[in-house]
Amino acid sequence: MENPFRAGMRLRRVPPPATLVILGVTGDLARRKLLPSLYRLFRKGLLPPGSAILGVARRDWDDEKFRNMVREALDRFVGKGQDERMWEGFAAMLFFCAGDLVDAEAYRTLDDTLISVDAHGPRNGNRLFYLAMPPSTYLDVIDGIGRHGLAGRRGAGWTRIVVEKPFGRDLESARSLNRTLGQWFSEDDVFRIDHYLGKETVQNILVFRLANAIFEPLWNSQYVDHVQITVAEDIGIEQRATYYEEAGAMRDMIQNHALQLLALVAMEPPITFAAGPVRDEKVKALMALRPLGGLEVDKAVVRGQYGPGLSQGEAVVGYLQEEGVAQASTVETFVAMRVFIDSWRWAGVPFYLRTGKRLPKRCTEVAIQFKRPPLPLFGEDVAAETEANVLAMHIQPDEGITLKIASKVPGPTVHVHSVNMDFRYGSSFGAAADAYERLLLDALLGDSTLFARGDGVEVAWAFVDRIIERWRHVDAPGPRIYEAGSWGPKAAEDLVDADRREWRRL
Amino acid sequence: MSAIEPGGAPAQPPADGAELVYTLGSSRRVRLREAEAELQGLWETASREAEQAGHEGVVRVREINLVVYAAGDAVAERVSQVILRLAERHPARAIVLLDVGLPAPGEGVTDSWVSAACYLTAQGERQVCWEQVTIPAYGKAVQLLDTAAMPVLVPHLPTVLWWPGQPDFEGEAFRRLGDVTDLLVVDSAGFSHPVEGLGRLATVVRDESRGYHVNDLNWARLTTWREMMAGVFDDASRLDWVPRIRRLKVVFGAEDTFERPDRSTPPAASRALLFVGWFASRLGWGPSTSEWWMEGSSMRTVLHRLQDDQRDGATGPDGPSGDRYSVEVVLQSEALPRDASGGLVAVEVEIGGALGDDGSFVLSIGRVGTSCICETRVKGPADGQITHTADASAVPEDRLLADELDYLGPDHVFEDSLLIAAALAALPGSSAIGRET
Ligand SMILES: NC(=O)c1ccc[n+]([C@@H]2O[C@H](COP(=O)([O-])OP(=O)(O)OC[C@H]3O[C@@H](n4cnc5c(N)ncnc54)[C@H](OP(=O)(O)O)[C@@H]3O)[C@@H](O)[C@H]2O)c1
Repeated sequence: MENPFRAGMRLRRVPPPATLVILGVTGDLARRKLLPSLYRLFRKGLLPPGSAILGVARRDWDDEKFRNMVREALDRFVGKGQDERMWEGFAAMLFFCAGDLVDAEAYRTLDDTLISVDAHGPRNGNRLFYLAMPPSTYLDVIDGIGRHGLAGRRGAGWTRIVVEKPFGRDLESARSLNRTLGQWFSEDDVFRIDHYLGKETVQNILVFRLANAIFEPLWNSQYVDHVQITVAEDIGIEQRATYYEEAGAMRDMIQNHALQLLALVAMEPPITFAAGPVRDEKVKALMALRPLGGLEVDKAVVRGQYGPGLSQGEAVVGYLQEEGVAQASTVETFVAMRVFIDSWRWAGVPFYLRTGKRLPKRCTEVAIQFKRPPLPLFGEDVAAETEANVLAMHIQPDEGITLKIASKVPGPTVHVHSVNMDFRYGSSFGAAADAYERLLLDALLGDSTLFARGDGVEVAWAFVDRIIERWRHVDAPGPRIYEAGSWGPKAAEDLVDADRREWRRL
Repeated sequence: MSAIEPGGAPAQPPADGAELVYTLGSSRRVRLREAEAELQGLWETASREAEQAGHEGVVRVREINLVVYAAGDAVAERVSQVILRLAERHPARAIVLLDVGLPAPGEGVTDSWVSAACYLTAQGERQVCWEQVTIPAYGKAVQLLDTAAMPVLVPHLPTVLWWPGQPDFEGEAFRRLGDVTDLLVVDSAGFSHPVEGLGRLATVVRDESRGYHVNDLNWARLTTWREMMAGVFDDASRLDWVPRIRRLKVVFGAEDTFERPDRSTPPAASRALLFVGWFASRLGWGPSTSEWWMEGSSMRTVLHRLQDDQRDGATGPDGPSGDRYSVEVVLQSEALPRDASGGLVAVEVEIGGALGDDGSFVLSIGRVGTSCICETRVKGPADGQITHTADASAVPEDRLLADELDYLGPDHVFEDSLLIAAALAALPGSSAIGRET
């Protein structure tokens, strides 16, 4: 029977009570993002009574120590002065289980702890595992969960698993992760996080395209000149050299975030807005990417590595001088590329992607650049003065949408200027919730629309793997050095220049 | 400004990142027919200035027409503050119809005060902007306020009529403004007769010929309470408590946050009735032909569980009145310290034992002391089964309004709840609700 009190509650989707098991709860991600988001959900009444959060890590802590750590994390990342009662209500949900998850014994302890935690409240056997551990442990941990009977359903309850990025480091490892997940969980219960997909504007890409009748008819090669997707960061690699030396920008940004954005822009309309159909269409779009391999890579892809320079006015070292980076490292911190989607809709339309560290600013956006009008009706001068229409969807740091249109400057002569029509989230509909908040909520609700699906991840890896393979070749041009604080190496300019186009100035 | 703050909480400053407000010229008095042109002028100036400063130009965003009926200067001023904060979430053209209430010094409505403003971003660019036209009306002209508003409505945008205070539901001004409205927002907590006023509002909701939806900020203040109650029953195993419910008690604050000397019924009394209405409508209970009676310090009446017996056959033990088809409703007002969070204080649901077991128990959701924090608790055999905490702070008026404006459609749950609340308010003896102490 349905809960009669929930009927008609406006758009608030409250998940059923569940036990959330955070594996790697003492780590940076848990402190900075997961626990603060869970607390915010709790404060908004979106973690119903009977929910519990069980943290797991190796250090030998008890519940008390864990609660202290959470308290500190909240003070730091949510803000000091949390209401004491509120905190006590949240703290009562927190439990800790110490254990080294490479060790079989840890799973038995975890099982016992889960049974005793579940005994405290009515949780219908619902469990959500959140894998927030070092990526090297993923396979073992998923397998451990499965082999010790923790992945199975209990009664009417569900068991789900959230897997953090990176999902593998190439096609082979992604496949093996998918295989192991598939051995213990059904695809519907697996939630591969790409936190970009939790952002409002990213969700708005589809709404914007499909809830407005006036854009979709233009959304094709007949009207679109090209698409630019930028994922720029101003920071360097921070303290994550070990990870970054293994990854590089192609794996860290292009394989997931940039290609996910591309899929949302390029996909066909789904038959309904549900996880299955939406992800079907996204995967199809990725499958239509024209593969880049061998010498084509040299022409269509530019890789770069930052040298010393000024970042936001401060002197910073180059990548090679960062602590933990190999002396002659050829790991790329910048990628610019031209890709094509060989579909009826997008035939011949270039998609330019660029990402990098130590660029001038932190900024993520998708820009659709439309073709110019067929005839310079107002004369060549005017045509030269005006820019093509651009629809830009800003994802970071401000979320919003800008449409650039041409308009006549008042006066007796025809002067045309481009003006931006701007719509910003945070200033128009109130501040949007953090992406992790949204994604945690969706996972608890079992809605996987905003998560990557196994086959999609593999298609994306297959695409970037071929490029990386070419880079390993001795003849391949190495990464171009660019000055920190600039928009990347000159070769990136040349890439679009050759097509008589230019990168948007951001 | 010494504004009266319904709900007790002062409006909050806009969120981070949009703290600076840039006013495009000061509020100017112009003839009503020139109001549109005056606004246009303000925008052009702002645009020019922005361009000179090297910015992109000013964006004019309008999502709705917000027509506000303000009875007197004090209300108009309070309303203007709310509009300013509302703009961040719902940029609007606000048209404040100011009922000055004096005999007309001249003919009709001729003047207006025009102002417009933007929030500045951290970079100093102007972003979301709003505009306000205040139209004072004197004497008889008040009845024709719709004709004053119409010329300044932005075409093809939904029009929301916000009426702080109790409308004269039968009056000409209300009827005529209804004709240009898509959504009516009232605040029954601000009604001059909060309990009786629910009946009036219900008449509006029942009238199928009206062309607009209706909402109530007083209802919106119940959201946390409703959610906490719903949270208890998310565990399906507790649904078998429902047919065993014998009594529903709602305790509300007796203080009058509206500080109106001429009022003797606290606004939270109507909120308590709306809560009962909601609870009953969700469970298919209906008002009986009973009356309100006073017992000790509380008011009591009876509801019929109409559908329970139709659905499940005879269920549950006898109610306290010896009738298993009835549920007792208890309303109790409680004097609170001045600084307490007003509104509801507690909701208690008394549940009879399962068949063959007379261990009844009480499910309660209530404020911890006089704080804004609410706790769910169960006393009796199921003791300690549920503990839950939520923040039930008074929500500032601008946020309540902004939340309501997120949905411009009908709220059927509200309508169902209101109809039952109004039926309860119409029972004999209801006039004593909130006055018993
Ligand atoms: N940090 C971010 O912003 C971010 C962003 C996106 C994705 N991610 C991904 O999220 C995951 C976690 O990142 P992180 O930055 O939080 O890592 P981290 O700071 O290194 O934390 C790792 C956590 O795993 C625990 N752990 C490690 N080995 C363990 C074992 N054998 N058994 C039990 N617990 C073990 C650690 O606790 P003990 O030392 O106490 O055992 C710690 O709680 C990574 O996969 C990362 O790629 C992180």
